[in-house]
Amino acid sequence: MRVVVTGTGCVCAAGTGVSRALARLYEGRVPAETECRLSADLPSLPLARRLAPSDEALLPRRDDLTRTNRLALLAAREALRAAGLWPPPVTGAGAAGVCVGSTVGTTFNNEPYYRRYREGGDFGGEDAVGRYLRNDPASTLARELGAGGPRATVTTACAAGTDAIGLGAQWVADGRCEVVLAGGSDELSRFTYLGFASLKNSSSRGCRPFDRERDGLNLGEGAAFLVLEPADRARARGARVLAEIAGYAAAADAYHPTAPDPGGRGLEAALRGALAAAGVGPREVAFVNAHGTGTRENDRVEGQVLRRVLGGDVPVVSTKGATGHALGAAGALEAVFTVHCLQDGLVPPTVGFAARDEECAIVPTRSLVRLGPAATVAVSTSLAFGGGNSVLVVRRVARE
Amino acid sequence: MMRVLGTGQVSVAGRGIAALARYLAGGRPADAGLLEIRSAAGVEHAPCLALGEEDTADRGALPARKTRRLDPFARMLVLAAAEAVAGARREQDVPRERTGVITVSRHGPVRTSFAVLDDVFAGGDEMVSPVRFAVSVGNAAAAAIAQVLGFHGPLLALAGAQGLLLEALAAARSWLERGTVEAVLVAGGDEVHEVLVHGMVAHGEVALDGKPRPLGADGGRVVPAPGAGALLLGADRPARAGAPLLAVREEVSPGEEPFPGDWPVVLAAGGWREEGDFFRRAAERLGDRAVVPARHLGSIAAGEVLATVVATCLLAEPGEAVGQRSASPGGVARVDCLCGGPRGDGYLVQVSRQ
Repeated sequence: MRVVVTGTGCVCAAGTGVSRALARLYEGRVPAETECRLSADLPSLPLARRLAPSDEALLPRRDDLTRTNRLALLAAREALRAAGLWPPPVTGAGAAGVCVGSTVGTTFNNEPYYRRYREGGDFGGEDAVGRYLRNDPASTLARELGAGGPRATVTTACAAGTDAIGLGAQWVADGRCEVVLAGGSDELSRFTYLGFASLKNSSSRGCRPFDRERDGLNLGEGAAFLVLEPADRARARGARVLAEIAGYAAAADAYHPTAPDPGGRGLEAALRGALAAAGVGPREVAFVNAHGTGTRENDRVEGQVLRRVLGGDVPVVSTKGATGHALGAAGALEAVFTVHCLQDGLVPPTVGFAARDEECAIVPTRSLVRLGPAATVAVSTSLAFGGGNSVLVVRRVARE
Repeated sequence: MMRVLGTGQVSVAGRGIAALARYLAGGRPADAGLLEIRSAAGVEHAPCLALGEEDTADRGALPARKTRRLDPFARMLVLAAAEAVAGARREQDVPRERTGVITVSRHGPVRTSFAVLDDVFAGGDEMVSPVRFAVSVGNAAAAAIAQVLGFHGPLLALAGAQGLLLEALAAARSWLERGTVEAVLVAGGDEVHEVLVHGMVAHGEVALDGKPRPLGADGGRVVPAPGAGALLLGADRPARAGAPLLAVREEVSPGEEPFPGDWPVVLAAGGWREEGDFFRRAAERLGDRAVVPARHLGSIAAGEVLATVVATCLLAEPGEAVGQRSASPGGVARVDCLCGGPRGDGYLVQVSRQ
């Protein structure tokens, strides 16, 4: 069964709404007002990227929801509107599934509450545990959107958004439900900010994916969702089909808790597996939206695997210079961008890249690349803590 | 249909399937201790179950080089997983390149997450340990299982509310049917942390007398407990005919479910408020066919995997003991495990010898 994308939505530092974010990506611009730092006490002062202050007002005003879920709702609303499935309940195409990748959104690391709990202050009346339990992202979205199908919150760290889309596509292909809202959401958190700083892989300036002088990532925040449906059902209800999720695969390095396998074993297996699942040869890949975090090891390993499997001519872009690394949302944001870049026939420049690094084996896009009419397939890669590697293959569907 | 190629567990019953079988056969009720809750309001105590230190010690079962940095949560899941893999009868059933890992947990490595924050409170923003942070992420246990056991198939980690095992089994079946993998290791469970218990006490969920009443009609039914179970699953093939079959049936409503047959039905009840009277209604219909592990093992937040392991454990040849139930002269060829779903309904995990 072919699984197609009929709606997309996103919110991130590059912009709120797919068209605004894409416009910034194509221009290679990063809004300066999205820069922030979450600690004044760290000597390295890592840079992070938050939503633009002007976009804050767009978030749903819901004190009962975590920021991760407010981000998710905003992006989900855009995706469902685009798919013609708004307003809720999402019942137009049978039971709807919800599959959300998240890291911060599933962890009870409410620092202000826990500090009061330990050190004093009025914590007794605050139902922090209940709020945490009620804010599981998939359950929250399903409740808010009236989605009665399967639901899952995927916590595979930086690959969670990609895995949520892959899992959601499996649900559709297996006939578990007829429409799935799949993607990811994560808010900026001091917990992860301090954690990444402790690993010494955060940059104090804008990240520089695949660049010779790259020195780490910038954490980000955001959410992105795709509406997935069986192709025949989408056509039957007259939905506009944006793309097909043609392949997905994941594989483990089984190597180290934080570092990728130096030879890229898991990523290569996932990439070859996803291409095989899509029935696509390496030469058919028009571009890659890479994980490209700007860390020394990720970019070296990823670049070498992309070169080895796909050759040196395929355009490779990392969009993290514009969005920051939004963890559980990252793969979903990049999948949304991949869908629309294929539609538009454009690949954005890699914000932050300036100087080639031979170790990376590839040179990412420096400027806007225009794809030819034969460009129909693109790849989005995600690498995660713990050695998880996940790859989506997206196929363009002709505009109707 | 899938085959259960191996099972493993770590719980207050001890470590290993044999310890679980002995514990259940003995019919021992849970023996709660007191958890110290040291908040800014002072020191309180709440009933809680704990693992024995010996039960999470490696005892040479795992390669020390790969396990020395595991936190208690990952160690618990890795130990259960390693036992499940060791239980596979044929090595070719678990090819390392083609074995996937799925973990399910309600809270994940919550003790490590709070320890990271304790470091910050004690020493400032620079004091986060990179090792501790690395194992605090939601997929750390899945990654640890893959690393320790050398599995290179897909990794999936699921968190959140009810229905976790349902989604894990659906994903496992999908991978097996597509031929993506040859085997899938599904491991799940949770640990206990004082902040969560503090919240449960505030909600009136905890049985303050230390006696778990997972099917009780009122609040105060839960005695929190840590624990993990693991199921090694493979596709149904003739060469695996001796291994238990596993099937799943969704949309089970205890008020309408006829529960045909005479086999035991394990209730994955914890006594949590969100369960409402779901399991109590099932128990009323089932009578003495109902088996309730939480009475003995305490309430484990993501206890569905361990409950399914209990169900597999209860499958018995003629004349064998079947947990706390009387030995059946004809053996027990099938056991179901009823789990709560996310929408007020539930699902049955059916294990059988066929």
